This record gives sequence, C-alpha cells and structure tokens, in this order.
Amino acid sequence: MKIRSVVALTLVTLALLGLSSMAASADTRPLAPLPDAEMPDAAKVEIGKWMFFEKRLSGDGDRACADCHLPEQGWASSDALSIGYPGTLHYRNAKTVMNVRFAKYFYWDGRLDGGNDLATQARDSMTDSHFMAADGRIMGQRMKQIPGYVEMFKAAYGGEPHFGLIIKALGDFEKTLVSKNVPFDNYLKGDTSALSAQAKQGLDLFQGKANCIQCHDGFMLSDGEPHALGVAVNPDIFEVKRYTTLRSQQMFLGTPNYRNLKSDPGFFATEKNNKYFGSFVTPSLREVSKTAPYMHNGMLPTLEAVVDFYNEGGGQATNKDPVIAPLGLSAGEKAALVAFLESLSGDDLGYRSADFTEDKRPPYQLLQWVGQDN
Amino acid sequence: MISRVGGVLAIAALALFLGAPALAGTAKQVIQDGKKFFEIDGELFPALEALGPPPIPKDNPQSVDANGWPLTDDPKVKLGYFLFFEPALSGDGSVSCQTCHVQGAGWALNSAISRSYPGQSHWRNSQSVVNAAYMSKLFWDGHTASLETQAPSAAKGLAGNGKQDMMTARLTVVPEYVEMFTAAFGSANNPVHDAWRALSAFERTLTSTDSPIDQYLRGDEDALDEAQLRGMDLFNGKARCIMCHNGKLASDEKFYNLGLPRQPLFSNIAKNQIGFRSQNYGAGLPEEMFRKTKSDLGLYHRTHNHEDAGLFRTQPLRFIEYTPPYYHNGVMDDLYEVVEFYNQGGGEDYVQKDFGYSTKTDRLKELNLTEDEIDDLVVFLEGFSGPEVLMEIPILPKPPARISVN
Repeated sequence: MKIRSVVALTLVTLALLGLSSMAASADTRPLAPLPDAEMPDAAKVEIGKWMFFEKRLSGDGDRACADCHLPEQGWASSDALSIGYPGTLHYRNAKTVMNVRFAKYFYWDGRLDGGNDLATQARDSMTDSHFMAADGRIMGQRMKQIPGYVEMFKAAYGGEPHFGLIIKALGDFEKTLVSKNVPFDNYLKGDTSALSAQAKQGLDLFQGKANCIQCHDGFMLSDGEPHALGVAVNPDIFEVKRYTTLRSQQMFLGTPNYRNLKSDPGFFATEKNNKYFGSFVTPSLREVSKTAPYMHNGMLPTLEAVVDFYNEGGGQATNKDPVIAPLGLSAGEKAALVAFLESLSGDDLGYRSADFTEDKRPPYQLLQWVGQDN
Repeated sequence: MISRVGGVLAIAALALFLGAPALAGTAKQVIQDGKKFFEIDGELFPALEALGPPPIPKDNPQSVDANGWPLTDDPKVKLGYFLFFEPALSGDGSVSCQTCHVQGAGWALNSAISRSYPGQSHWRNSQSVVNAAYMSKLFWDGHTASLETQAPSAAKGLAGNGKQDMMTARLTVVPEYVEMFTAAFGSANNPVHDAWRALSAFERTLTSTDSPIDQYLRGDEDALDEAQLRGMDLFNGKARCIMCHNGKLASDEKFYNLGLPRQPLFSNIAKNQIGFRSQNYGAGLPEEMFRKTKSDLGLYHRTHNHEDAGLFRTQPLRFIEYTPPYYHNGVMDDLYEVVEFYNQGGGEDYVQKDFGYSTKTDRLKELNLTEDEIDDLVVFLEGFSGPEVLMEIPILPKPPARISVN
C-alpha cells in the first residue's frame, strides 16, 4: 500500500513537471508532498508543548519560544524584525517553526545543521544572549520546582527535568509541527480539485517561467542553500538595540570587522567566504501565506510584494545569484503565482497562546529536602 | 597561625601601646620581632592595625598620590565610576553593580539575601564594596582573588546574567564610552575585559580608613571612649574575636564554620529555593548531597573537600555599622545579635545535622560575657565605621537612537 502510493505520487509529480513550459534544470528535485514522518512519544510531545510556551525558560522568566513563534502567526511573527530577550531587539525576521524537522540548516544564516537535531537548535536559542539568555543549570532547577511539570517528566522520561530533557522535549514537540491537509499536497496525491485553476497556473509558472523551483525545490520547496538576492537593507537594523544585537552576534560568530557592518552578512558569518556576504538560506515555502512579512529582514510585506520583487529580477547586490533575473510576468501570472503559494498552507493545528498564559501554567512550589523537614 | 617561639616579650600593661585605662585587661599582648600579637589558647594572633593605601596590582596600574593613595582623576577611575552604575553590564540591561551595592546601604544591600537579575533569586548576602580593595579573597567562599575577577563573576553570574558579546556591543555603541575606554586603556577594542579593570581601579578609591579605631591605632588616644576601650580589650582577649578578626583587615581571610542558623527564606519561598538549589547543582554537588543540602556549604563549593563544608571567609569589620544584616546568609540583623551568638559559642553545626560530621570551628566557646561586656563590645565594633562613603550618582552616557556606520 505504502510503496504503491509512493510510486503513484512520483508519477503524478513527474506528470506535473512535464506540464511546465520550461524544464527545471537537472539538479532541482521535483516538488513533492511532505513525507510521512514518525511522531515522537505523545507524553514527551506534551511536555515539549508546555516548554514551548514557558517563559520561565528564559533568564528573566519573560521570554518563551512562543513569543517569537506564535501559533496565531504561522508559528512565526508578524513583526518585520523579531523582538529579543528583554533589553534587546533582533535584526532578523522570525522564521516559522512549522515543518522545521525537515530543514537542512537552521536559522537564516544556516549556522546550525538541521538534520532533525532540534534539541541543539533549542539549546542555542535558549542560551543566546539576544533570545532567551538562559543558564541551563538554573532552568533545570526552575522546572524541578514546578510539580505539575515534574510529574510529566517522570512519566515520560522516568526522571526529573533537567536541561537536556527540556531541549529534547522541545525538539519532540516541534517534530509534531507538520503541515496538515495541505491543498498542494492533496493535489500531488491525486486530488485534482485541491488546487484552483489559477493555482495550477501558478504551479506551472513556479516550475517554468518564474523559475522559482531553481531554489524552492523538493518537498520542502527549499534547496536549503544560501543565495544572495539583494533584498534592501531594513533601515530598522540601525536602531540601537537591533544594531547592538547584530554587533553582539557577529562578534560571537567571528565575523571580521563586526563593528562596522552596514548590512546583515548572513551566511558569510557561517562560511566566512565573501561570495556569501548577504546571502541567506532559502526558506521553505510551506505555510508561507501565514508568515508575512517576508525575507530575512521582513522587508517584503506580502506575497504580492515578493512576486513583484522576483519579477523585477531581485534587488541590488554584486554577488546576486545569477538565477535571479527579470521574469516579465503579467499581472495575471503574478496573481496565479500567489494563488499557488497560498495553496502551500495546511490546517490550523489548533494551538492558541491564550491557553498557556501565566494563570494556566503550573506555579513554582517549595521542594522538600530528602529526609528532613523544611 | 603564628607559633610561639623563644624571645617573646610579654607586655604586662597594654597602656604602653594602646593607651588602655588602668584596669585589669583580659587580653594578653605579646611582642614578637617588633610586631604586636595577642595570645589566646597558646596561639598568637596579629593585633589590629590601621589601614594604609590599598595594594595596586602590577597588571592593572592606576595613578596614586605621594603616599600611595589612588587618585580619583585617573581616567580608569573615572570610567570605572560610570561603569559601576551602568546597567549595560548585564544580560537584560537592567542590573548594575549598584543594584546590589547601594551606597546608602554601606555599598551593600540592606536585605538578608542579595538581588539577582529579574526572574531569578540570589542566595547570599551582598557585601560592602568599601575596602574590598584590601582583600585577597572575594565572595563569601573566596572564589576570586582580585577585584578584576570578582566583577565578571558577579556580572556574568547569578547577579547580572551578562553575556560577553552583548555587553561588548552595548558599550561600543556609546561614543562617550569609546572615548573613555580609549583614554584609559588606549583603545576600546576589548571593552568588557577593560571594564572589569576600570571598575577595580574605581573600587580602589572606595576605602574607609579613618574609623575611630583607625585613628586610635594611629595614636589618637581620644578616638575611642572608655566603653570602647573596654570593648577592645574584650575583643583581643576574653571574647576571642582577634583569633579570626585580626591584622590590618580585621580578618584573617581564612574559612570557618560558626554554626550559623539556617536562612528560612530558602525553606519558605520557592523562588529563593530555586536560587539556592541551582547554585548547589551548578557547583556539582553529588546527587545525595544535593537532595540533603539545606544550608549553604560555602568553601565546599570551591574545593569539594568534605571538611570545607559550611566554611565561610572571615568578614572584615570596617564599615560594619552600615552593612546589616550580617553573615553570608544575612541571618542576623544587628551587632547585638552577632555578639550574643558568639557569647553562646556559636550555634548548632548544620553540617553535623545534615551529613553526620562536624566542621564547626573549635575556636568558638561560651564566652560568659556580662550584659555590660556585651554593650562594650558592641560599641567597640561600632568604632570600626568611619563616615559613610557617598558620591553623586553619575548621569550615564547613552547610545544614539540609531547607529550610523561609515
């Protein structure tokens, strides 16, 4: 049954590709539905869910993962540039956590390998000075003094919470954040009515005239590689708190001349090769209609603006990827592309930040010492 | 400790040196190699001495006057003065040195347990910065040996949660700081490292060396009144204080378990317990000890030697009037309570109670001090405090709203 469905999907995909007016280059992978993926143990996922919304997992006890990755905003943020740890602001747009288990690299600058190692990403974001500035030893102790959580950890892991388990549980929760009932996936699986005629036209353009598939390929609609597009610098990165974070993080990453940056070096900071200056890892397009604004710095407010940007051949950069060139799309073609992009979002998973407010989270409680009265 | 050797010159009357009144003293003074000691239980302890200028480390020089006193117009000191009040040197930009070292509270904090960054609790009492310049062991467990290493331990640790890169960036976006670092250190290339050095230079100007006891020790016989002189004799003799509170600092900078009462804040407030227990966890206490540890294990955190459990560094006594509550866990509110505690020979050894072996010092014995003697001792202890050290709080330089890069 399973093998048969895979073969069928492949055939459908190939058929779709055959429709393109311009064949994608040989090294792009066909678009495909999200693969089935094994879901972690439900008890661990349940812990991870609470940890994801838990502000006490930051130094000041005032930042949760969910503060920048809001379920109501596509598990990203509607801010062009993200907030940060109290006293800081960020200089990049918060990416969605949806489908992150399939990411090749984490973060816009690809500084962490993806490969399903979500716990490491959680650790980095929890301990980075501009995100959550947490001391793992203290976080473990904080969770140990929340009996509601301790019981959950004991049931799921057979022991009390500690930092290692906290980040693993977060990773396990994130593994469940996978798009569900996506029109485009349904279409690829054979439901020809899942896409409107306009969206189908958009798909054709995506793989043909607009050539999006050059970078947005495979089942993630991302090659996971860095590209320079020449997106304009967001002038807000020069606000002192954002620029301070830029300077701090680029110092940490070992970027040369980090005090005099006029723009975000992006993947350069990871690779230290000039050709990558200002390049960023291609984001997945899944759930993209829910995660405006767009690009690493939120400079493009809508999908229409994104399509216009590419139609004009991207922005200004000496190292701009040569694949980015004016497209000559008509208004109708642009609208069709947007309609296709909108078909990449699945159902709301049903999580609400309001269900995890302070009054709903279990409180700190005193612990008894072993063998002694308090 | 100093062993007694031959050639000891015992002085019968203290009057010669100390101008003591003509009464039968309890202290037994000894002169050895021209230096003055007091003898208790057959051991010699260095007499109190007036404080001179603080030592200045060769790797962090600062300008001094002809007598060796640090000058306040040194660019390092000026920078350190600003940085002492500067919350940029913390994780969220809200905590400065003065958050826990308030000049109106003797450059300490008038609460049993010090402050931590928002969302977190501390676990030890904040100590005065005044005269910290003289000490070779900072923090209650002596885990740093210089002001230059004390500052980052606090700013990056439980007090400030500051991160090196963010603090660096915060300082470098303030043009006035770039200028000040350049003036003091030749560049602003390594401002966080240099911030600790500037803070240390500033702290070396925060001294209190003109207390009544200092004046007396320099030869002003009228600096202490009769009651204080009686108290001093008790200090050096019957009350056995000099055994640990001796020499220039009134501290031997060694470590003792006194059997102090437990701090109930760790048993009745969950957030404080988190601060307490996370420090034990961070220090790598073995599982069983972690579960049982109800009181701060002090020096054990550094050495992991069981005989060091519950030991804390002897506190210097100058400026003490301004810095209640007392001890590492702030369990005593005033000097009467402190003296009463010693009069009873200290307290129950909680290491014994928790772990079944004792580390309490055998120097503490019931003293049998009378009410009058306790009064005398307290007024003498009050003589360790000169005038308050007060200064204007600086108006801090601010970064521009936007950064322009050339």
